[in-house]
Amino acid sequence: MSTIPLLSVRALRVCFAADKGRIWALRGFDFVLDPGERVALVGESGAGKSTALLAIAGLLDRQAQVEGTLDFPALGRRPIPGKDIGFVFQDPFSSLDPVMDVATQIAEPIRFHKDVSWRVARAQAVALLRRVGIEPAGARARDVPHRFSGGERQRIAIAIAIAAGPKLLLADEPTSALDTATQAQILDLLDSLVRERGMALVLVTHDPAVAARIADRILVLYAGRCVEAGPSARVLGAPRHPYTRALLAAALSLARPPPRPLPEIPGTPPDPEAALVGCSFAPRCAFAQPHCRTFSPGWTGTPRDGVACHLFSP
Amino acid sequence: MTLRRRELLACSLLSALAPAGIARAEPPRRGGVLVVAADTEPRNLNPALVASNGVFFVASKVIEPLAEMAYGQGGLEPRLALAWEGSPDGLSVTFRLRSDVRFHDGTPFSSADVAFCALELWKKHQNLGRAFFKDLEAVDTPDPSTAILRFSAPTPVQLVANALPALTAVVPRHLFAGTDVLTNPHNQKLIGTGPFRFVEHRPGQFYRLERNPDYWGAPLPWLDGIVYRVLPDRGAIAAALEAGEIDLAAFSAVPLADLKRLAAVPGIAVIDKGYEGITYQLTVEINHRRKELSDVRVRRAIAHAIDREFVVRAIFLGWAKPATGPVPRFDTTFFTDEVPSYPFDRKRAEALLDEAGYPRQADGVRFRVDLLPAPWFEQTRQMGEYLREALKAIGIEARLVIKDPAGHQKAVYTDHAFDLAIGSPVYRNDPAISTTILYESGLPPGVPFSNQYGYANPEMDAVIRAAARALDPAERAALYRRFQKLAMEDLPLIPVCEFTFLTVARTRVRNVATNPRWAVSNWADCWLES
Amino acid sequence: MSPGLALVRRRLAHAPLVLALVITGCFVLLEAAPGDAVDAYVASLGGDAGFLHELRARWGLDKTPWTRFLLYLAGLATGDLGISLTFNRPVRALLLERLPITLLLAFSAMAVALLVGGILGFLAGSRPGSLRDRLASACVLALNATPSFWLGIVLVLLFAVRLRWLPSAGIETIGADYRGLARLCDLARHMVLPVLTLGLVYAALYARVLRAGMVEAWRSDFVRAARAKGIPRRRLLFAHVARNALVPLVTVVGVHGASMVGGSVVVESLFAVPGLGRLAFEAVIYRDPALLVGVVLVCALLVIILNLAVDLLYGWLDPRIELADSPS
Repeated sequence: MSTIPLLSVRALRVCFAADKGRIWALRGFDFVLDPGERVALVGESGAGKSTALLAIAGLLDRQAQVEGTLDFPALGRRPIPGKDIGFVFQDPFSSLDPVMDVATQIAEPIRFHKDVSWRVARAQAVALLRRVGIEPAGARARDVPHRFSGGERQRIAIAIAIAAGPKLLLADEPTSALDTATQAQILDLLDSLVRERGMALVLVTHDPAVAARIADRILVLYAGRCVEAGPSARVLGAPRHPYTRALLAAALSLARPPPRPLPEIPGTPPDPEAALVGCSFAPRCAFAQPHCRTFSPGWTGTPRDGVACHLFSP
Repeated sequence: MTLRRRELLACSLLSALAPAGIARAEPPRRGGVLVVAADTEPRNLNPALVASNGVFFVASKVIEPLAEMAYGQGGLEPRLALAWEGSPDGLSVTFRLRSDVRFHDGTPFSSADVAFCALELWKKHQNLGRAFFKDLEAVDTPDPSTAILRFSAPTPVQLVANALPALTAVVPRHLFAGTDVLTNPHNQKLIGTGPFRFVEHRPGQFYRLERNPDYWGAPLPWLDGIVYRVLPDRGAIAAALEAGEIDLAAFSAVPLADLKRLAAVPGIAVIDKGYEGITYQLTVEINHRRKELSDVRVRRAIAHAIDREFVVRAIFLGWAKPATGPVPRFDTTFFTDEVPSYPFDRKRAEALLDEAGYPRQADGVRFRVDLLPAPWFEQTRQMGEYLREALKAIGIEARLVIKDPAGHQKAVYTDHAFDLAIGSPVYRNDPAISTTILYESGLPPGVPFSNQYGYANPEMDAVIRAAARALDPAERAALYRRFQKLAMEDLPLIPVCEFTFLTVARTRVRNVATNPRWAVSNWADCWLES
Repeated sequence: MSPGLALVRRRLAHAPLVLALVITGCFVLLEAAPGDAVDAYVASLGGDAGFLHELRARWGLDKTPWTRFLLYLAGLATGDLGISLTFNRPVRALLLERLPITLLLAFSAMAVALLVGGILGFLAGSRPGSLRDRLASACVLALNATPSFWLGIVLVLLFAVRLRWLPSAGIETIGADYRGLARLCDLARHMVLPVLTLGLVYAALYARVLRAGMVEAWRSDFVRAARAKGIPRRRLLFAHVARNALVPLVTVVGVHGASMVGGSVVVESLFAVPGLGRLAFEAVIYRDPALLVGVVLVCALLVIILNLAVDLLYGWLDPRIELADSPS
């Protein structure tokens, strides 16, 4: 690998202060992303996917305690939200300002990151609206979000995220609030935009199918750690970690309609307030051995293709 | 028969030089506008039609009565009338009038004006005059300065004289004759003979009066004018005084609670004189239709339950006196304290109630009553609260029912929908004017401040009737002493204490409280230090 | 037709119904209250039975309530608002006399309330939880806990009694007869304290509403999304946070603007401002139906106009609210 990575995350730990102790969202997350690469973070809710995304974007609440390192080697400086990193939120119904017309919302990052006038920024915003498939863009530019459908709103949200030409696009479950038909369209749009603009993409999803649809590489997160990583085809085709297998099995069993929002795996994830000893998945793992509960599994394989499980320890 | 004569000049000098209490040998200074607080704006400001303190407070400076009250022997001093004399048969009173008086519009004042006012305004329409002058048949005017009031029944001249200050304001005949007097514009744009002329009324803001340069009492008045600032809030009146924006607040417009603070401010004085002629009483009114209350022992028990000293101290902060009967002490002509009294004595009260056959029930309550404190004064409301507690102590459970003025007037004086009420009747210089009406039976419902209590005592009625016709002052006084004794024996209502108002004024205002009706008199001798 | 115009037309179409309800309501209210205008009047002076009877006949109170109501309506149909029994003057003249000063007081107070409340609320809401928020919120809390008459008295004692910078009451210097600009200045000096008193109490309310709206906006997804765009904090604060918090603020201003016109009895009394609030109060105390209906009619009209203004403002502030919805 000779390219300079766009993003390098090492031993990222994020926790929030709670009434009696701390809530762990990330318990040591490592991740390297190349420019133009498309990665999906999958896992159950509470696995730390969204926290990882927010941490990368620098959007964590001020109360969050963050340890570890976040570097942007290809950038050579700290990233500026909006300018270097675009962010697409999960719910297009709440992530747009309800009282501002959409063109202005798209124009904002352009205006403030590209040093152009509002006029120019708005003109570019209208072009972007057209690009993301809102027609007639000129006429609808002045409309406010509630005049758009959910799918259209997510297109607008994508337009906002890419407006200032970021090198990295983060998308937090961008399709889970939408119906199936729209989901596919949005994924197509993301796919084409990322290719067209050479952006790297980190997409959070609980749905392996979505990951398969768009990602070069998949990271599986469980209880604040990455338990498996690898090229999409390999992870989906030959999952190693028992959790990945369970996740895929649950997702496949639900692949037929009616789709359920979350795949179900027997048992519950560990208490985020508890300190973890041993493999975090051990209590739910069908293959767990006694030592799984005492020793934390190390990473087996390369950073980009490997697994953290005693079953695969050398 | 009394005959009072006083020379014009002597009169004005006397009133200027003999102010009660504050006698400083300084010559009055002419000039300056006195700014005073007013809290109401009467719909009809004509004192010939409406005899009320609210009207008099402004109108008495513009429109004068035939005579005014005075401190000292006689109790009256001439205004538009120089002298008066009753006929031996009591059927007429002859007034000698000033001949040098002009109304503010320049027309001369004469006996025709008095005759017109007496027959067309006082007798026909005036709230107090309608009853008082019901026997007035005619007014003869043999010459411009003589008016002879003729009555169909004997009328004591003493009574007529005592009514002069409040009931006999004179407005010009030529402006009222031939008009609907009640809607006449001059009920607002006053034209009179007084020391001040009416300039303007800006509703909600102020009344403005200016000096009448042609006043018959020249060189009076001293002031260049008077401004009444309408200040509906009593707290605001205190502040305006303190800020120096007004010079004087009459009629206890400053809350008693603020008095102490204000009195400590340099240049501000509290004056408790000048209202003796309009002394109010705090009374417990009793509905005799209620079986328990028709028993005199129960009424006496209630009287014994009231600690008058406490009421004076706690409710009036000392600015009142316990009452002994329906006539206040100030009226030395009629007052007597040789009447039954009911000292504060709860044991006695309870014994009386037991005797009357109303023992305490299992819950400690003898019987329950509705108590309606009149909303007129802060003190009537507070007395309601005090009485509830006082009654509770002797086993009578009172429920306080608070109403606004119209509601109270209707409930007590029209519908008789009360058991006990707290009232505040005013004593107007003679028991026959507004006091005996509280004891007399046979009055139609709806008459405010009258016996709507269902009390009827033939002996009481006989005394009241006899006194109203008694021509001999000594006989009248004796009858009214009898009246007071009877009133306190039978106790149809319970006089608790008598109170007058307070004036708070800047000390630069001089000749304040120079007569017993000062606030509602003409203020011709009032002056301002520079 | 533009949605705004349609709304205006629809609202005005409802106005007669509202006004009819208001008129009937006032009449019923005063009819149901014990005692009539004569009772209220004689309560201050006394008089014999004939005096009362004569007054009732003269004031038309000897007629049945129905007859009086119909007579009033008949008069109203010809634009006659009747005669006030309390003031013995045409109601119309009284209203015209008092409306300007009421509007001046209400709108000045509203401006003060919006300015002070806006600044306090904005300071507090711009950084919830900060020292600045705690200071501003403490001010708001103190103001909010202050009854208006008490605030008024304190202001009077300070500015009129101690410092003597401003008059304690009234609306003009009596007898000064100022003209033109001098008169305006005189009026302004007299209005400072009442406007402050009335305005500051509402300022506390507005500040709370604005702060609450801003706190909610800070927590919202769209502000987080706006933050992800990397726009300057100033832009975020004004264009997104504050802008969204204006919607609840305008609602509250609309609701209370009307009560500022009619409900400033305390302030009008304390500062001797001859306004509509006191007039309505006196109409009730003195059982003066024509006057009460007159005042309430004017207030109802003002409320209708104000609500219309607020709704039109809504359309601009919050495009989610469709102006031309259900044109039923």
